[in-house]
Amino acid sequence: MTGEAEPSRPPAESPEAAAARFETEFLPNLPALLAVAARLTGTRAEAEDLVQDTLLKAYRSRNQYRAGTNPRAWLMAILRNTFLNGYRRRNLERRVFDGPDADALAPGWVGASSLRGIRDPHSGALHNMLEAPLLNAIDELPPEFKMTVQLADIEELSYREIADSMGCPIGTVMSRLHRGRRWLRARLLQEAEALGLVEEAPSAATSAPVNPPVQLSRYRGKKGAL
Amino acid sequence: MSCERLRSLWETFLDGELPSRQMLELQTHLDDCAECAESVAFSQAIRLSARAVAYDDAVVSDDLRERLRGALFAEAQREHEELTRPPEERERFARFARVSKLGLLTTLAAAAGVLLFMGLDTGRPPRTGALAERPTVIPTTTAGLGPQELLDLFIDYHAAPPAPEVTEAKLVPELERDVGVRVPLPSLAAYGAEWQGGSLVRVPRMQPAAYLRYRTRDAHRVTLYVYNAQRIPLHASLERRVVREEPVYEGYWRGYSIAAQLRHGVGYAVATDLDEARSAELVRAITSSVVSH
Repeated sequence: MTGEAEPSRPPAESPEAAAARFETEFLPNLPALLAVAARLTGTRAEAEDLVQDTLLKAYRSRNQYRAGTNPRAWLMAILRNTFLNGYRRRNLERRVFDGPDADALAPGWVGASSLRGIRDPHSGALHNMLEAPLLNAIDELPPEFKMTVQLADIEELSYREIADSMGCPIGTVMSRLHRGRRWLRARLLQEAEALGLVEEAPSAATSAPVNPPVQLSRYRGKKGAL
Repeated sequence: MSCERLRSLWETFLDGELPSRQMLELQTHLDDCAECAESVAFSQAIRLSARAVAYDDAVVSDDLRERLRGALFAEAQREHEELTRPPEERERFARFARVSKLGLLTTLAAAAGVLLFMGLDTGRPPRTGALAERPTVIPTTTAGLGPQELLDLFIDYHAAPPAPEVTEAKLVPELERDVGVRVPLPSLAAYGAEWQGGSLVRVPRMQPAAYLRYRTRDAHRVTLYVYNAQRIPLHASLERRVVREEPVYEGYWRGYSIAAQLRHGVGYAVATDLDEARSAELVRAITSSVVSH
């Protein structure tokens, strides 16, 4: 309450102008914020609330934004803090990463021939039957892993920017990315197997051959066919 | 570079975070190794799909955009008022803000914001001059809110609701301590609406009201308010109608309809973005379901 004793300082711009300037600079990130918030909270209504709280906090602390840095990373940092401070309770239950099964899903080596059915040859994205399993798998990640993977894979922030957003060292970002992605790959392979998209079962939990056979001729043949 | 070594690097490679020499080495290996190339393609596919599904899932509706712009403008307005207020009023404001946690100011100012942006969006000329001259909404007397202010406040909690404090059904009765009347949690499943959460409407110098948020499958929002009708005369803000021999109080304000009924000293009100008849129907269904026993 100390700030209130200071003399009144007339604001430099009208509220209309201030809000409009903020909107121009930061509202283009609205879809990104909502995408991350939706995965973190799990419900649309909560995601919208989280985005609103984030934007209001960002507005109040807009003087702390350093011009020239990535506005998206700055907003994500505020979103994360807001989420941790008010929305987290229900997500606190421990999940796969803390249990004894943490590494049971680590994927063994899966050969190229069995992986081929997983992708859509035209778009390069996953087979569309795997989209729902992918969302489910992302949702199963603990919040800090989920947000790290999202900021990297979906928002394409740099490791440095993610570390700043998450308030942790770069090493932590890399370790979370490594484990989070390994989990996603393993889950998707399981799903793909269940859906009959891969030819051979990935040998989960068993040690895989370290050096898979290189089938150069087949690869070259495929390249030629494209 | 061996396949094994590559496997520990390809995610970093795809992230574009490897030093350029290693990037080149890896790229060279991928050109020659079908197994690794396929595996990297799989990682890349996960990213492409994750990006696609995440954004499919998070389309920003016009409603949301409008609500956020309204809230931002309200915040700007609040900040402006705070900075331009004379010192003695700021002192009083500070006391008031401590008590109300700014809830009232933010929400009342949201009214101004939403109105302004709705005005802009419908092509009407922006009335910035009028807004700048808008009298401050900080109550400076000890009287309660007038009917219009009360209606505004309740609509604010429907238009731009703060995050719900209660999201578990079994905790809803906890609200009763503040509200002073029994707070039921009626099911609106028959109307295709699911309960999302609830919290308090902080009404300055009156008892708080409880609000319960619902959302229908087609994304209409329904807010149910439960309050002590002796302390909060919301019905005085609304128009009295008699529907099947029961009085229902109805109003239409800022694009939302609100309908209220009183039962044994308890007020039940419903705000929706549907028409008044639907709101009235909902509130009647709710009061008859919660009061019958």
